[in-house]
Parts: sequence; structure tokens; C-alpha cells
Amino acid sequence: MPEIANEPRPLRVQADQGSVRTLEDLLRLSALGDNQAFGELYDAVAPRAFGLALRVVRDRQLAEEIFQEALLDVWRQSARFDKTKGSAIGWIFTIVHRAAVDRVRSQEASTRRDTNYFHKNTESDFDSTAEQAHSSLEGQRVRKAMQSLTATQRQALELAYFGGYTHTEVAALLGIALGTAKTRIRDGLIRMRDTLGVHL
Amino acid sequence: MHSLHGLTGAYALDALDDDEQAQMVHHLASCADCRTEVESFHLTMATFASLSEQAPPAWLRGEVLESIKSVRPLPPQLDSDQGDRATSAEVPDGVVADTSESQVPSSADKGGVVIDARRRFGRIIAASAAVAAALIAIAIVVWPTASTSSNPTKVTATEQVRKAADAKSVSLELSGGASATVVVSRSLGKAVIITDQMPKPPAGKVYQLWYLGANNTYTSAGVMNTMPSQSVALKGDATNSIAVGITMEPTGGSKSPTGSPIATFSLPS
Repeated sequence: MPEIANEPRPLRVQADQGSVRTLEDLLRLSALGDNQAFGELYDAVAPRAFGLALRVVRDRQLAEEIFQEALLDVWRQSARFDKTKGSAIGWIFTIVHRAAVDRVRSQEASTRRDTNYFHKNTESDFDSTAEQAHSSLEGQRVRKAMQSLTATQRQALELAYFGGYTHTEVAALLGIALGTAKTRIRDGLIRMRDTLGVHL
Repeated sequence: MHSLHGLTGAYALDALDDDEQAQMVHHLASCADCRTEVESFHLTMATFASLSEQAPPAWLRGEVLESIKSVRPLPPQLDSDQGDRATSAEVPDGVVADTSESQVPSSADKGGVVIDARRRFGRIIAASAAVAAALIAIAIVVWPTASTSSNPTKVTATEQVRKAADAKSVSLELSGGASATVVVSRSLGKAVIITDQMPKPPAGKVYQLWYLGANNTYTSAGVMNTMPSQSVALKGDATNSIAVGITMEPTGGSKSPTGSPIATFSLPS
């Protein structure tokens, strides 16, 4: 089965013995009920997971709730993670993202997500986040990779991943055909993946 | 296969509409190429998330690590046939389906309080008929509810209730600009509450939900999270309830209502 060749840097954990425990190890230990291992996992993913939840839902208190729910779910489902089918980091962030997206969609009616507002602020929103970005190598690498995307690819990815919009909504927001939105999203992801050198 | 293959990107971003999502899950079960691509996208997006890193408040760590102590990790899935393959891609769906109840780390899940209260159902005579009647009179609007969600979303417990054919809702304006709506489906035996702009309860207090039964007994329907705006499935059976109430209780909840009612929703039969 494929090995994860390029796991993001900050997500390895230095254990007491000096050995490196990967997220995969920590998930396996969590499934056995190891609270301490889960604590290490928490420390490794928390800033990124919380940041993602906050970016999607925008409300701090709500982000705290979602983050907490998602982390608890990672614990609950830890034994369901299968490293032969994918990476731990991908698995964990899928859970976090899904929780955040589900919440914003179920609160669609709320004024927080005013489409016009979002539309107008897409650019500045992205830029300000980029400025805040962690000055980690990882953050720099990703910002650089973003520059390899076309404007539409970048906006489509932005709206889908951080905006929590469906591809139908993304198409409407960008005034492009659904088929075009699908293609932009997939092409954008492929380009990001290849530029970042992510491979399984 | 070809058209579905083009959906791997939107699938990895949770950006598919419901019907496509179902088709895609089905497709992934038999398409190794798509599974590999989706997984590479998941990994890519996890990296993408590094653009938004922000440390959560320090107290959350303790809270999360405390809450896992009362949650048993699920056993692994043992069948290793093709269906199992699909499950790996599907895990997040399971998460979605559950968010409005079960594993949500609300204080309601932390102790046996809710269960206790339920066990004691029928023994608690909490309020006189006169008080109950007075509270019920507060409910101001009752109308048959159509499904108001314009966007197809995952079917959560709350969605299920809201979309039930016999769903009825009752809305109340609360003090301070807050409002709350209870939607009940007698056929499902379930109710949900949707709150908006609820002020955070003072330290050491929580909002607790109650069912008022026909025999004038209150049964705890769980403790609410502290989010101002939320949609929560009430715990327990709504089939024979005549009203839903909210009271302020000490953290962890009470076995029977001790605080004065903040709102009472008379449920249409």
C-alpha cells in the first residue's frame, strides 16, 4: 500500500524517548484508549484545526464548539482510521472541515453568511488571512503554491473549502457554469497537490 | 464513471450536493483511481489549512481532554470487503449525521443526569397545573411548518424533524432580542429547538430543556450548549408531550426544573 511520502512538517510529535510518533501512531494509541497520546495529537493539530473551523464559520464561539466536537469525534472514530487507505492528517481534517461546513449550511438562514458581503470581500479576506498565516515553512510553501493557480481556480477552491459553499453555489457566485466550476476545483486541487509535492 | 471522476475535487472539499454525494460514495466503493485521487486531495487540503492557523484558547485543551474520558472509542470495522472501502470515504458523513445529537460534547453528555431524569419520569411532579397552564399561554405563534431550508443539506436529526410531513413549529420572542423555535414531529416522536441570539448563561448555569407530559410531569430533554444560535435535537420522546420548556439550571443540569421558566412552547397536537 502507498506510503505517505510527504507528510506536512509540523505534524510529527517528539516523544519523551526522543523517537518521533506520527499522527498515525497517535491515532492507533487513541483507539486503545490512550489519553496521553490523544493529548499529543491534540497539540499537533489544534492550531490548524481550530483555524480552519474559525475560517469557515467565522464566529469564535461557534468555532470553539465545532473544534471540540470534531476532536471528540476523532477520538471516537480513531479505530476506524485505516492507514492503508489514507493519511491521518487528511482523515482528521476531513472530519474538522465536514463538521464546520455542516454547521454553516444548517445555519444558512443566519445573517452571518450574507452572499453579497462574502462576494465583495473575497479578495481582502484572502489577503488578510495570508498575512496572518503562520510563518511556518508549511504556510509559506502553501502561499507560494497558491500563486500557481489561476484566479478562478483559487477563488473556486477558496469558496468551497473556506467558504463552505457547494460547487453549485460556487458556480453561481463566480458567474460560471457548473461544469466549469467542477473543472476549476479539480484542476486547482491537482495543481496545488503537484506544486506542493503531495503524494501518497 | 467518467462524469463522476470529475467530481473527486468537489467531493474532497465537501462541496457536492446531496444526490451527487450519494452517487460518489457509491462510485468510490468500486473505483480505486478515484479513491486515490480523493485521498491525495484530502492531504492537499489539510496542507492548505495551514494558511489559517490559529491557536484555540488554552482552556479548550483541558475541556477536550476531559471530555474524551467519558467517551469510548468505537471498535474498528472488521469486515474488509468492498463495502468497507466506501466507508473510509464516508466517515465524515457519519460525523455529520451525528452532530446534532449523540457525541456532541455538551455538558448533557457528561454525566448521567439526563438519563437519571428520564428514569425518574412519571415520579416528578414539578409544577401545578395552574402554573403549567400559565406558562403555556406564552406561546404566541403556531403554524404548520414547511421545510424552510432552501439548500439541500445532510439529513441530520434536526433536518429530519423539520422536514417531516407533520412537522409543526412554535416560535417565541425572548427578552433581549433572542428568539427560539421548537419544531415537533409527532410521527417521529422527536422535537428540535432552534435558537437565535440567546444570551450566554451566567457562569455555573446552563439552559436545560424539558418536556411537559400530559400527566403534568417534566422530563429533562437535555442541556443546551452555550452557543447563541443553534439547532439542537431534544433528547427523549416527544410523542405525548404537551409542551417544551427552558429553564436555567446549575451546570450539569437538574433532575427536575428548579429555575424559573425562560420560555414554554405549547406543542400543537
